[in-house]
Amino acid sequence: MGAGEHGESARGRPVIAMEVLQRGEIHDVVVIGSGASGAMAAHTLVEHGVRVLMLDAGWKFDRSLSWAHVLPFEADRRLQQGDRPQQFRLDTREQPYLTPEGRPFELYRTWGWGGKTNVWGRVSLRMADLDFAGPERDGWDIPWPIRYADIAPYYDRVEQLIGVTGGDDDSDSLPGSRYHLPPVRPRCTEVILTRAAERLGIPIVPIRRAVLTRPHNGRAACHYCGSCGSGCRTASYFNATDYLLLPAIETGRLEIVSGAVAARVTTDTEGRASGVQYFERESGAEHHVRARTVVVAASAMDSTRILLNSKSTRHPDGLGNGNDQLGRNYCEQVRFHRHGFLPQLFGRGYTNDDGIGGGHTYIPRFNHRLGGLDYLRGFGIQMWMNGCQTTGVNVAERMPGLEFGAGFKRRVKERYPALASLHPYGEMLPRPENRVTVDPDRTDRYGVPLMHIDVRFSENEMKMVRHMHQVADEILLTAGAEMVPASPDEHDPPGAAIHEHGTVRMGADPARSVLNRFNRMHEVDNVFVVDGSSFTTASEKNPTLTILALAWRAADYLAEELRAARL
Amino acid sequence: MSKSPAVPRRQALKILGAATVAPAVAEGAWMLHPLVPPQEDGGPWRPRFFTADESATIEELAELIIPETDTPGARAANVHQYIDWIVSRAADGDDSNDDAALPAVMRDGLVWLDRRGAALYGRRFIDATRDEQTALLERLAADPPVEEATAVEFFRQTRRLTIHGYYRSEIGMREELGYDGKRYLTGFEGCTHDEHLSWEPESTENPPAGGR
Repeated sequence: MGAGEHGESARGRPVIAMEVLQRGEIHDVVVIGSGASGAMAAHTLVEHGVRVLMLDAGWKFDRSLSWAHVLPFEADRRLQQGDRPQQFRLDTREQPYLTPEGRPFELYRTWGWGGKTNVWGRVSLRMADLDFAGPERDGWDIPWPIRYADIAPYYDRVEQLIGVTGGDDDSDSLPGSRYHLPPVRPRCTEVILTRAAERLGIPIVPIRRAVLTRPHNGRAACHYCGSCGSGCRTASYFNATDYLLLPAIETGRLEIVSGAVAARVTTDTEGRASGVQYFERESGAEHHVRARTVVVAASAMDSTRILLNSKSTRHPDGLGNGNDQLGRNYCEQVRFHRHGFLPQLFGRGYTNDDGIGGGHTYIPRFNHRLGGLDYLRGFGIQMWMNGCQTTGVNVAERMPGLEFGAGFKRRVKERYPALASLHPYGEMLPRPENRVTVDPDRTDRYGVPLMHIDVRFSENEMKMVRHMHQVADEILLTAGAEMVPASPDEHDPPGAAIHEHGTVRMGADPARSVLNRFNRMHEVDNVFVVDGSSFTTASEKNPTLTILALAWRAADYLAEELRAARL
Repeated sequence: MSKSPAVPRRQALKILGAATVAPAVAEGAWMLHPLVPPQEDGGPWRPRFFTADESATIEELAELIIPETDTPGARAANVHQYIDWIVSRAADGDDSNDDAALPAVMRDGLVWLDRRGAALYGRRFIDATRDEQTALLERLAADPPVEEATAVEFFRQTRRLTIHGYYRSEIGMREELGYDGKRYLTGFEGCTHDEHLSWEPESTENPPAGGR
């Protein structure tokens, strides 16, 4: 077999020596990535008795070192004593990514055990048939190959395993659950906004968040410091390390190689996956591990990059890309942040509004119940940064004009408990031209081509953004808010929601999708891709609960295939 | 929420693991703005970017933006030290969050301020009366602007840095706004104001949902 079949650099240099490939244990399953999807797949596989080797690009984080309880004015004293908060975000100076001139993309990557679940937003929403059947209904691109009934049992299992606070609401846009932990009480700002939305006929429900509002599966309940974004010291919200990786390691069947930056899935003469090429993050030393099955779970953008770089004579444009679908059809959510001050709360003084961090309430999608929309799909509205959750900076900076002096100081104090924020998230349609490619001329420190992300919002998103602004303004104005000025087209750049999807999408038609309904590659039957890249559409919802459910489902299927010796 | 049940310290230590409790604050740290590192030679604070005169003007400006009232203002919170630190970092090019143009904006703005003070009141800004200083800042804050764009930008930046330095200081957070968050609590009460739990807006108009 020729060298080119095992992965080739863009310059044609063989990157894996044959003799390396032919040595070493053949692992039943190699999983690339230890975040929500990789950890869930590994956890499921070891429960089925399968031995798993996992590659992670970083190391284990230590949650006891979290700065969750360090106030801004204490931080520098810590720094002076040589203390430093853990850095969860991958530095772009170490691993750059490329974007076209004038089309920014905000990519948040975490390399290290648990990935982004160390610091995630924790919002845990079930996708509905309104989402899964959306493409059939409006005809925009390919249908999902699954329905709510396929994934519902896995939503049940995931929620029981990780613990999700929520209410008893159940609607066509947000299916209910019997497994929610007790909901958390709303803050004053959220009560006032809820009343206002009710007057407009817009339902607001308790937030669903993977936070333990009572002790659950032996883990401590939330202590309401509200600083989840710094990493939880008590693991009172789901993170993949504490909830999945450590229990999986306990079984003796999961081994994790830390600091292993996966570059390519290698293939044999038949074009099937034979293993994974990786580089030691610090030394740059090159390695290869052999595998019967490869599960790719490196997060949407990194998984796409790895597959696009996995070129061989059988797969000249990347693994599973015979139909030119890999890297295309990117989708996510377009979002913005709308603020006002609620006069009902002016001068009420400091209230501890920390709670479970982020909003305690949520506005599920409702636009499908209205007539006369000039765009496809819908949006939900999140409600973080309400009341005294942050410093006065967030109030002072949002007051209009360049006011100063004693009057300004008094008005900041008056408004401190009254800051109200709405954050609408609208579904972005998949389009083939919104895509990830790799640039053979621009490589990282290991010589691996960098990803190039070319994404822009289209007319459908911009029409929805205008409706989202209109609804957010209506709710705040109905609540009597003093509005913070904003433009009706204002929105965050692509990537800001950190919900990347579509570039390795699943579908029933092998000509128009990369994966089948069990996250298995159409073209290469021993490769599974289980992260957010597998979503056919983004929906308006935060994806992690669905990523966990899909990864569990795919791993159950993979374990059965292995047991039946079909792999 | 002020009545919220805090976890007793001993229990908090148990949850945390006692070894992770923060060491005591360094001696003399109170003399510095908490976000500013000490002088490398261990001596008292000196400006890193600004001259002593410039720093005195920045101190005056910050105090005009957030003055002492019934609580301490920007001067007591050493906000000028914070501004000097941020601008010096921008000048060293090692703070990607701050505009590379910031050092020039600040230095040129200070020159403009003294020139404008001389033209309007016949003396440097720092030597002007409080009323004269306030009147000049009102010109810079005017909407629509009455002063040149670079001067307005200087004021906008000084005001922004003052807000960041003050409301993240212990004085700004604790004394001014009464902040008492990031604690270990055994529960979360949510809104306890009866009038908000039963709150209804006065308007009887009820537009359709989404209002399109």
